[in-house]
Amino acid sequence: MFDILSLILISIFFPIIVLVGKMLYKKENLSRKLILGLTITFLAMELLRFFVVASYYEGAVIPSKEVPYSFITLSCIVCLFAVFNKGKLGKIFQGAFCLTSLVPIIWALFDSAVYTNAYDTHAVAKALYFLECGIVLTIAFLLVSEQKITAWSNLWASILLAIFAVLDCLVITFWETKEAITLMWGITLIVSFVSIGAFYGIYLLACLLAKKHKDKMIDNGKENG
Amino acid sequence: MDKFIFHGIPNLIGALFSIVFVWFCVIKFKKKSYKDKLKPLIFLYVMLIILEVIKIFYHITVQNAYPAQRYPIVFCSLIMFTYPIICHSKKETIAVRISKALSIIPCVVIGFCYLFILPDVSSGFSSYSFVMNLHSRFYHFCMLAGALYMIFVKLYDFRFKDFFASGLTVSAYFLLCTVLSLFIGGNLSYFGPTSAPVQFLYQAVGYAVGNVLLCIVAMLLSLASFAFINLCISLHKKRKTSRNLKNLL
Repeated sequence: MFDILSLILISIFFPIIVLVGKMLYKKENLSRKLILGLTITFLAMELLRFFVVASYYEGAVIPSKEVPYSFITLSCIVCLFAVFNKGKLGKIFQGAFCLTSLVPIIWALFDSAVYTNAYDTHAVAKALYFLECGIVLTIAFLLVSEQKITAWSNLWASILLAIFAVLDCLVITFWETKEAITLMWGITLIVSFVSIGAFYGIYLLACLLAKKHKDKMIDNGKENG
Repeated sequence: MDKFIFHGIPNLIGALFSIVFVWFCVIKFKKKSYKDKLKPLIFLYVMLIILEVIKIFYHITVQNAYPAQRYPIVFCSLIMFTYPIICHSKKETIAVRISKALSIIPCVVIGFCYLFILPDVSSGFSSYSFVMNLHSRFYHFCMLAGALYMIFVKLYDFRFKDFFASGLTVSAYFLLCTVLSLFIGGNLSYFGPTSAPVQFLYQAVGYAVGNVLLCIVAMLLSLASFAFINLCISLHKKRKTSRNLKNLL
Protein backbone atom coordinates (compact mmCIF):
# COMPACT_ATOMS: atom_id res chain seq x y z
CA MET A 1 0.00 0.00 0.00
CA PHE A 2 2.72 2.49 1.07
CA ASP A 3 4.88 1.33 -1.83
CA ILE A 4 2.14 2.07 -4.35
CA LEU A 5 1.53 5.45 -2.75
CA SER A 6 5.20 6.39 -2.84
CA LEU A 7 5.51 5.15 -6.43
CA ILE A 8 2.63 7.37 -7.51
CA LEU A 9 3.90 10.35 -5.50
CA ILE A 10 7.44 10.11 -6.89
CA SER A 11 6.24 9.48 -10.46
CA ILE A 12 3.97 12.52 -10.31
CA PHE A 13 6.21 14.94 -8.44
CA PHE A 14 9.45 14.25 -10.28
CA PRO A 15 8.11 15.51 -13.66
CA ILE A 16 6.34 18.41 -11.93
CA ILE A 17 9.56 19.54 -10.23
CA VAL A 18 11.58 19.31 -13.45
CA LEU A 19 8.94 21.06 -15.58
CA VAL A 20 8.46 23.84 -13.01
CA GLY A 21 12.23 24.37 -13.04
CA LYS A 22 12.15 24.52 -16.84
CA MET A 23 9.38 27.13 -16.72
CA LEU A 24 11.18 29.23 -14.11
CA TYR A 25 14.59 29.30 -15.76
CA LYS A 26 13.90 30.06 -19.39
CA LYS A 27 17.20 29.41 -21.11
CA GLU A 28 18.16 28.48 -24.65
CA ASN A 29 17.96 24.78 -25.52
CA LEU A 30 17.11 23.96 -21.91
CA SER A 31 14.61 21.33 -23.00
CA ARG A 32 17.20 19.51 -25.14
CA LYS A 33 19.81 19.75 -22.38
CA LEU A 34 17.35 18.35 -19.87
CA ILE A 35 16.47 15.46 -22.17
CA LEU A 36 20.14 14.58 -22.67
CA GLY A 37 20.93 14.89 -18.97
CA LEU A 38 17.94 12.84 -17.89
CA THR A 39 18.66 10.12 -20.48
CA ILE A 40 22.22 9.70 -19.23
CA THR A 41 20.94 9.71 -15.64
CA PHE A 42 18.33 7.11 -16.60
CA LEU A 43 21.00 4.82 -18.08
CA ALA A 44 23.28 5.30 -15.06
CA MET A 45 20.43 4.56 -12.66
CA GLU A 46 19.41 1.43 -14.54
CA LEU A 47 22.98 0.14 -14.43
CA LEU A 48 23.25 1.04 -10.76
CA ARG A 49 19.95 -0.71 -10.04
CA PHE A 50 21.24 -3.84 -11.70
CA PHE A 51 24.49 -3.80 -9.71
CA VAL A 52 22.75 -2.96 -6.42
CA VAL A 53 20.46 -5.97 -6.77
CA ALA A 54 22.88 -8.32 -8.54
CA SER A 55 25.66 -7.76 -6.01
CA TYR A 56 23.43 -8.85 -3.15
CA TYR A 57 22.84 -12.47 -4.04
CA GLU A 58 25.12 -15.43 -4.55
CA GLY A 59 25.66 -16.70 -8.07
CA ALA A 60 25.07 -13.30 -9.61
CA VAL A 61 26.45 -14.58 -12.95
CA ILE A 62 23.39 -16.70 -13.68
CA PRO A 63 20.17 -14.72 -14.04
CA SER A 64 17.63 -15.78 -11.48
CA LYS A 65 14.59 -14.50 -9.63
CA GLU A 66 16.41 -11.42 -8.31
CA VAL A 67 17.49 -9.98 -11.67
CA PRO A 68 15.92 -6.52 -11.93
CA TYR A 69 14.73 -7.04 -15.50
CA SER A 70 11.44 -5.46 -16.45
CA PHE A 71 9.88 -3.20 -19.08
CA ILE A 72 11.95 -0.32 -17.71
CA THR A 73 15.13 -2.01 -19.00
CA LEU A 74 13.69 -2.09 -22.51
CA SER A 75 12.41 1.46 -22.03
CA CYS A 76 15.96 2.60 -21.19
CA ILE A 77 17.33 1.12 -24.44
CA VAL A 78 14.50 2.67 -26.48
CA CYS A 79 15.10 6.02 -24.76
CA LEU A 80 18.76 5.97 -25.83
CA PHE A 81 17.76 5.33 -29.47
CA ALA A 82 15.00 7.96 -29.30
CA VAL A 83 17.29 10.68 -27.96
CA PHE A 84 20.55 10.00 -29.78
CA ASN A 85 19.23 8.87 -33.19
CA LYS A 86 18.19 11.94 -35.16
CA GLY A 87 17.01 10.05 -38.26
CA LYS A 88 13.62 8.63 -39.16
CA LEU A 89 14.22 5.64 -36.88
CA GLY A 90 14.79 8.04 -33.98
CA LYS A 91 11.35 9.57 -34.52
CA ILE A 92 9.76 6.13 -34.51
CA PHE A 93 11.52 5.33 -31.25
CA GLN A 94 10.48 8.69 -29.83
CA GLY A 95 6.82 7.98 -30.48
CA ALA A 96 7.07 4.47 -29.10
CA PHE A 97 8.94 5.65 -25.99
CA CYS A 98 6.50 8.48 -25.25
CA LEU A 99 3.42 6.33 -25.61
CA THR A 100 4.82 3.53 -23.44
CA SER A 101 6.00 5.92 -20.69
CA LEU A 102 3.17 4.83 -18.37
CA VAL A 103 3.91 1.11 -18.77
CA PRO A 104 6.74 0.86 -16.14
CA ILE A 105 4.40 2.43 -13.57
CA ILE A 106 1.55 0.06 -14.47
CA TRP A 107 3.88 -2.93 -14.29
CA ALA A 108 5.03 -1.82 -10.83
CA LEU A 109 1.46 -1.23 -9.66
CA PHE A 110 0.36 -4.73 -10.64
CA ASP A 111 3.48 -6.69 -9.76
CA SER A 112 5.77 -5.60 -6.92
CA ALA A 113 8.35 -8.21 -7.99
CA VAL A 114 9.72 -5.79 -10.59
CA TYR A 115 11.20 -3.55 -7.90
CA THR A 116 11.34 -5.46 -4.62
CA ASN A 117 14.22 -7.64 -3.56
CA ALA A 118 14.60 -9.35 -0.22
CA TYR A 119 18.35 -8.68 -0.15
CA ASP A 120 17.99 -4.95 -0.76
CA THR A 121 17.82 -3.97 2.92
CA HIS A 122 17.87 -0.20 2.38
CA ALA A 123 15.41 -0.34 -0.55
CA VAL A 124 17.92 1.42 -2.81
CA ALA A 125 16.87 -0.52 -5.91
CA LYS A 126 13.23 0.25 -5.13
CA ALA A 127 13.96 3.97 -4.83
CA LEU A 128 15.92 3.85 -8.09
CA TYR A 129 13.00 2.14 -9.84
CA PHE A 130 10.51 4.75 -8.57
CA LEU A 131 12.79 7.58 -9.62
CA GLU A 132 13.28 5.96 -13.03
CA CYS A 133 9.49 5.89 -13.49
CA GLY A 134 9.50 9.65 -12.82
CA ILE A 135 12.39 10.18 -15.23
CA VAL A 136 10.65 8.21 -18.00
CA LEU A 137 7.54 10.37 -17.65
CA THR A 138 9.61 13.56 -17.60
CA ILE A 139 11.57 12.64 -20.74
CA ALA A 140 8.29 11.68 -22.44
CA PHE A 141 6.70 15.06 -21.59
CA LEU A 142 9.77 16.93 -22.78
CA LEU A 143 9.89 14.94 -26.02
CA VAL A 144 6.17 15.47 -26.61
CA SER A 145 6.61 19.23 -26.17
CA GLU A 146 9.36 19.21 -28.82
CA GLN A 147 8.09 16.67 -31.36
CA LYS A 148 4.63 15.77 -32.63
CA ILE A 149 3.42 12.22 -32.19
CA THR A 150 1.73 10.65 -35.20
CA ALA A 151 -1.05 8.06 -35.08
CA TRP A 152 1.44 5.50 -36.40
CA SER A 153 3.33 5.76 -33.10
CA ASN A 154 0.52 3.73 -31.51
CA LEU A 155 1.50 0.83 -33.74
CA TRP A 156 5.22 1.15 -32.90
CA ALA A 157 4.45 1.37 -29.19
CA SER A 158 2.21 -1.72 -29.41
CA ILE A 159 4.95 -3.63 -31.27
CA LEU A 160 7.45 -2.60 -28.56
CA LEU A 161 5.13 -3.89 -25.87
CA ALA A 162 4.55 -7.12 -27.83
CA ILE A 163 8.34 -7.59 -28.12
CA PHE A 164 8.60 -7.13 -24.38
CA ALA A 165 5.82 -9.67 -23.80
CA VAL A 166 7.61 -12.25 -25.96
CA LEU A 167 10.95 -11.52 -24.25
CA ASP A 168 9.32 -11.78 -20.84
CA CYS A 169 7.77 -15.12 -21.78
CA LEU A 170 11.17 -16.41 -22.90
CA VAL A 171 12.89 -15.09 -19.79
CA ILE A 172 10.22 -16.56 -17.53
CA THR A 173 10.40 -19.91 -19.32
CA PHE A 174 14.15 -20.31 -19.64
CA TRP A 175 15.64 -18.24 -16.79
CA GLU A 176 12.83 -18.59 -14.26
CA THR A 177 13.02 -14.95 -13.23
CA LYS A 178 9.45 -14.95 -12.02
CA GLU A 179 7.15 -17.63 -10.75
CA ALA A 180 4.94 -18.18 -13.80
CA ILE A 181 2.89 -16.48 -16.49
CA THR A 182 -0.19 -15.84 -14.42
CA LEU A 183 -3.56 -14.26 -15.07
CA MET A 184 -2.27 -11.10 -13.40
CA TRP A 185 0.59 -11.00 -15.92
CA GLY A 186 -1.96 -11.07 -18.76
CA ILE A 187 -4.13 -8.39 -17.15
CA THR A 188 -1.06 -6.18 -16.67
CA LEU A 189 -0.20 -6.59 -20.33
CA ILE A 190 -3.74 -5.66 -21.42
CA VAL A 191 -3.76 -2.59 -19.16
CA SER A 192 -0.38 -1.62 -20.58
CA PHE A 193 -1.82 -1.79 -24.12
CA VAL A 194 -4.75 0.34 -22.98
CA SER A 195 -2.35 2.88 -21.43
CA ILE A 196 -0.77 3.46 -24.87
CA GLY A 197 -4.15 4.52 -26.23
CA ALA A 198 -4.91 6.54 -23.13
CA PHE A 199 -1.63 8.46 -23.40
CA TYR A 200 -2.31 9.19 -27.08
CA GLY A 201 -5.85 10.33 -26.26
CA ILE A 202 -4.61 12.69 -23.55
CA TYR A 203 -1.95 13.98 -25.95
CA LEU A 204 -4.58 14.74 -28.64
CA LEU A 205 -6.80 16.46 -26.08
CA ALA A 206 -3.88 18.58 -24.86
CA CYS A 207 -3.04 19.52 -28.48
CA LEU A 208 -6.65 20.52 -29.10
CA LEU A 209 -6.78 22.66 -25.95
CA ALA A 210 -3.44 24.29 -26.81
CA LYS A 211 -4.71 25.09 -30.33
CA LYS A 212 -7.94 26.59 -28.95
CA HIS A 213 -5.95 28.70 -26.49
CA LYS A 214 -3.64 29.88 -29.29
CA ASP A 215 -6.61 30.82 -31.53
CA LYS A 216 -8.19 32.72 -28.66
CA MET A 217 -4.97 34.64 -28.09
CA ILE A 218 -4.74 35.51 -31.80
CA ASP A 219 -8.38 36.69 -31.82
CA ASN A 220 -7.76 38.85 -28.74
CA GLY A 221 -4.69 40.29 -30.41
CA LYS A 222 -6.68 41.16 -33.55
CA GLU A 223 -9.46 42.79 -31.49
CA ASN A 224 -6.92 44.90 -29.62
CA GLY A 225 -5.37 45.90 -32.94
CA MET B 1 13.35 22.17 38.70
CA ASP B 2 15.65 19.84 36.77
CA LYS B 3 13.76 20.59 33.60
CA PHE B 4 14.15 24.31 34.22
CA ILE B 5 17.90 23.93 34.73
CA PHE B 6 18.31 21.76 31.64
CA HIS B 7 16.02 23.65 29.28
CA GLY B 8 15.04 26.97 30.85
CA ILE B 9 18.45 28.43 31.69
CA PRO B 10 20.13 27.60 28.35
CA ASN B 11 17.07 28.87 26.50
CA LEU B 12 17.07 32.11 28.47
CA ILE B 13 20.78 32.65 27.89
CA GLY B 14 20.45 31.86 24.19
CA ALA B 15 17.37 34.02 23.67
CA LEU B 16 18.99 36.91 25.54
CA PHE B 17 22.10 36.61 23.43
CA SER B 18 20.16 36.65 20.14
CA ILE B 19 18.01 39.62 21.17
CA VAL B 20 21.01 41.68 22.30
CA PHE B 21 23.08 40.67 19.27
CA VAL B 22 20.36 41.47 16.72
CA TRP B 23 19.39 44.73 18.43
CA PHE B 24 22.99 45.93 18.65
CA CYS B 25 23.95 44.91 15.11
CA VAL B 26 20.82 46.31 13.48
CA ILE B 27 21.36 49.71 15.12
CA LYS B 28 25.04 49.75 14.19
CA PHE B 29 24.94 48.36 10.65
CA LYS B 30 21.51 49.19 9.20
CA LYS B 31 22.62 52.29 7.30
CA LYS B 32 26.07 51.03 6.36
CA SER B 33 27.34 49.59 3.07
CA TYR B 34 26.71 46.02 1.95
CA LYS B 35 30.27 45.00 2.83
CA ASP B 36 29.95 46.39 6.37
CA LYS B 37 26.61 44.65 6.83
CA LEU B 38 28.36 41.33 6.36
CA LYS B 39 30.69 41.84 9.35
CA PRO B 40 28.27 40.46 11.98
CA LEU B 41 27.74 37.40 9.79
CA ILE B 42 31.51 36.81 9.62
CA PHE B 43 31.59 37.07 13.41
CA LEU B 44 28.72 34.60 13.67
CA TYR B 45 30.17 31.98 11.39
CA VAL B 46 33.59 32.16 13.06
CA MET B 47 31.75 31.62 16.33
CA LEU B 48 29.84 28.66 14.89
CA ILE B 49 33.11 27.07 13.78
CA ILE B 50 34.64 27.66 17.23
CA LEU B 51 31.57 26.08 18.82
CA GLU B 52 31.95 23.06 16.52
CA VAL B 53 35.62 22.68 17.45
CA ILE B 54 34.73 22.95 21.14
CA LYS B 55 32.15 20.20 20.65
CA ILE B 56 34.68 17.89 19.03
CA PHE B 57 37.24 18.52 21.79
CA TYR B 58 34.60 18.00 24.46
CA HIS B 59 33.55 14.65 23.00
CA ILE B 60 37.09 13.40 22.57
CA THR B 61 38.43 14.57 25.93
CA VAL B 62 35.47 14.27 28.30
CA GLN B 63 33.26 11.64 26.65
CA ASN B 64 36.19 9.64 25.19
CA ALA B 65 34.21 9.06 21.99
CA TYR B 66 33.05 11.05 19.01
CA PRO B 67 29.86 9.35 17.81
CA ALA B 68 28.62 9.74 14.22
CA GLN B 69 25.46 11.48 15.48
CA ARG B 70 27.58 14.45 16.48
CA TYR B 71 29.43 14.90 13.18
CA PRO B 72 29.00 18.39 11.68
CA ILE B 73 26.95 17.12 8.73
CA VAL B 74 23.51 17.37 10.25
CA PHE B 75 20.76 19.61 8.92
CA CYS B 76 21.70 22.52 11.22
CA SER B 77 25.32 22.40 9.98
CA LEU B 78 24.13 23.65 6.60
CA ILE B 79 24.44 27.17 7.98
CA MET B 80 28.21 26.72 8.50
CA PHE B 81 28.57 26.13 4.75
CA THR B 82 26.25 28.93 3.61
CA TYR B 83 27.70 31.81 5.68
CA PRO B 84 31.17 31.67 4.07
CA ILE B 85 29.53 31.73 0.60
CA ILE B 86 27.55 34.84 1.55
CA CYS B 87 30.46 36.63 3.21
CA HIS B 88 33.24 35.91 0.75
CA SER B 89 31.50 36.21 -2.64
CA LYS B 90 32.18 39.38 -4.59
CA LYS B 91 29.09 39.21 -6.81
CA GLU B 92 25.52 38.35 -5.95
CA THR B 93 25.34 35.07 -7.85
CA ILE B 94 22.53 32.51 -7.62
CA ALA B 95 24.65 30.58 -5.09
CA VAL B 96 24.78 33.64 -2.83
CA ARG B 97 21.05 34.23 -3.14
CA ILE B 98 20.28 30.61 -2.30
CA SER B 99 22.73 30.66 0.60
CA LYS B 100 20.96 33.73 1.95
CA ALA B 101 17.56 32.10 1.58
CA LEU B 102 18.82 28.97 3.34
CA SER B 103 20.36 31.06 6.12
CA ILE B 104 17.05 32.73 6.85
CA ILE B 105 13.99 30.51 6.40
CA PRO B 106 15.15 27.20 7.96
CA CYS B 107 17.07 29.05 10.68
CA VAL B 108 14.06 31.03 11.84
CA VAL B 109 11.98 27.83 11.93
CA ILE B 110 14.67 25.82 13.74
CA GLY B 111 15.44 28.66 16.16
CA PHE B 112 11.83 29.08 17.23
CA CYS B 113 11.35 25.31 17.37
CA TYR B 114 14.26 25.13 19.77
CA LEU B 115 12.80 27.88 21.87
CA PHE B 116 9.29 26.48 22.21
CA ILE B 117 8.91 22.90 20.98
CA LEU B 118 12.12 20.94 20.96
CA PRO B 119 13.22 21.12 24.64
CA ASP B 120 11.06 18.07 25.40
CA VAL B 121 11.78 16.28 22.14
CA SER B 122 15.54 16.67 22.47
CA SER B 123 15.60 15.69 26.14
CA GLY B 124 17.56 12.55 25.26
CA PHE B 125 20.37 14.73 24.00
CA SER B 126 20.20 17.46 26.58
CA SER B 127 19.99 15.21 29.61
CA TYR B 128 23.31 13.56 28.92
CA SER B 129 25.35 16.70 29.43
CA PHE B 130 24.49 20.18 30.64
CA VAL B 131 27.50 21.62 28.81
CA MET B 132 26.44 20.07 25.50
CA ASN B 133 22.88 21.23 26.09
CA LEU B 134 24.10 24.77 26.59
CA HIS B 135 26.33 24.42 23.54
CA SER B 136 23.46 23.20 21.40
CA ARG B 137 21.14 26.03 22.48
CA PHE B 138 23.87 28.60 21.87
CA TYR B 139 24.55 27.18 18.40
CA HIS B 140 20.89 27.28 17.40
CA PHE B 141 20.34 30.76 18.81
CA CYS B 142 23.35 31.93 16.79
CA MET B 143 21.51 30.61 13.73
CA LEU B 144 18.35 32.45 14.75
CA ALA B 145 20.27 35.66 15.47
CA GLY B 146 21.95 35.56 12.05
CA ALA B 147 18.64 35.00 10.29
CA LEU B 148 16.85 37.80 12.16
CA TYR B 149 19.76 40.17 11.55
CA MET B 150 19.64 39.42 7.80
CA ILE B 151 15.90 40.10 7.73
CA PHE B 152 16.12 43.40 9.67
CA VAL B 153 19.02 44.90 7.71
CA LYS B 154 17.44 43.69 4.42
CA LEU B 155 20.41 41.66 3.24
CA TYR B 156 18.14 39.48 1.12
CA ASP B 157 15.11 40.46 -0.94
CA PHE B 158 12.77 37.51 -1.24
CA ARG B 159 12.05 36.38 -4.79
CA PHE B 160 9.50 33.65 -5.36
CA LYS B 161 11.68 32.14 -8.08
CA ASP B 162 14.35 31.23 -5.52
CA PHE B 163 12.16 28.56 -3.93
CA PHE B 164 13.14 26.08 -6.62
CA ALA B 165 16.90 26.37 -6.27
CA SER B 166 16.78 26.49 -2.46
CA GLY B 167 14.51 23.43 -2.36
CA LEU B 168 16.86 21.58 -4.68
CA THR B 169 19.87 22.58 -2.56
CA VAL B 170 18.25 21.28 0.60
CA SER B 171 17.31 18.05 -1.18
CA ALA B 172 20.84 17.63 -2.53
CA TYR B 173 22.34 18.26 0.93
CA PHE B 174 19.88 15.81 2.40
CA LEU B 175 20.80 13.09 -0.11
CA LEU B 176 24.52 13.76 0.35
CA CYS B 177 24.22 13.39 4.12
CA THR B 178 22.17 10.22 3.67
CA VAL B 179 24.80 8.65 1.42
CA LEU B 180 27.54 9.75 3.83
CA SER B 181 25.56 8.26 6.69
CA LEU B 182 25.45 4.92 4.88
CA PHE B 183 29.14 5.04 3.96
CA ILE B 184 30.42 5.79 7.46
CA GLY B 185 28.04 3.22 8.87
CA GLY B 186 26.89 5.77 11.40
CA ASN B 187 23.53 7.07 12.28
CA LEU B 188 23.73 10.77 11.52
CA SER B 189 20.97 12.77 13.19
CA TYR B 190 17.84 12.64 11.02
CA PHE B 191 19.78 10.95 8.19
CA GLY B 192 20.46 7.45 9.51
CA PRO B 193 18.12 4.49 8.89
CA THR B 194 17.14 4.39 12.56
CA SER B 195 16.83 8.12 13.26
CA ALA B 196 13.80 8.62 15.44
CA PRO B 197 11.70 11.41 13.87
CA VAL B 198 11.27 9.78 10.45
CA GLN B 199 11.79 6.14 11.32
CA PHE B 200 8.12 5.30 10.70
CA LEU B 201 8.53 6.41 7.09
CA TYR B 202 11.68 4.34 6.62
CA GLN B 203 9.92 1.31 8.08
CA ALA B 204 6.88 1.73 5.86
CA VAL B 205 8.56 2.24 2.48
CA GLY B 206 12.25 1.57 3.01
CA TYR B 207 15.15 3.86 3.85
CA ALA B 208 16.04 5.01 0.31
CA VAL B 209 12.44 5.53 -0.82
CA GLY B 210 11.74 7.43 2.41
CA ASN B 211 14.60 9.77 1.61
CA VAL B 212 13.30 10.44 -1.90
CA LEU B 213 9.89 11.25 -0.40
CA LEU B 214 11.53 13.59 2.13
CA CYS B 215 13.26 15.39 -0.74
CA ILE B 216 9.86 15.97 -2.34
CA VAL B 217 8.58 17.22 1.01
CA ALA B 218 11.58 19.60 1.18
CA MET B 219 10.66 20.98 -2.25
CA LEU B 220 7.03 21.45 -1.23
CA LEU B 221 8.01 23.11 2.07
CA SER B 222 10.34 25.44 0.19
CA LEU B 223 7.50 26.36 -2.17
CA ALA B 224 5.08 26.89 0.72
CA SER B 225 7.47 29.05 2.76
CA PHE B 226 8.43 31.25 -0.20
CA ALA B 227 4.78 31.60 -1.22
CA PHE B 228 3.82 32.57 2.35
CA ILE B 229 6.63 35.13 2.65
CA ASN B 230 5.83 36.64 -0.75
CA LEU B 231 2.15 36.86 0.17
CA CYS B 232 3.06 38.67 3.41
CA ILE B 233 5.37 41.07 1.53
CA SER B 234 2.76 41.88 -1.13
CA LEU B 235 0.07 42.43 1.53
CA HIS B 236 2.44 44.72 3.44
CA LYS B 237 3.21 46.69 0.27
CA LYS B 238 -0.50 47.04 -0.56
CA ARG B 239 -1.24 48.30 2.92
CA LYS B 240 1.65 50.74 2.70
CA THR B 241 0.53 52.17 -0.65
CA SER B 242 -3.09 52.52 0.50
CA ARG B 243 -1.88 54.29 3.65
CA ASN B 244 0.24 56.65 1.57
CA LEU B 245 -2.72 57.35 -0.72
CA LYS B 246 -4.93 58.13 2.27
CA ASN B 247 -2.31 60.52 3.64
CA LEU B 248 -2.06 62.25 0.27
CA LEU B 249 -5.83 62.63 0.01
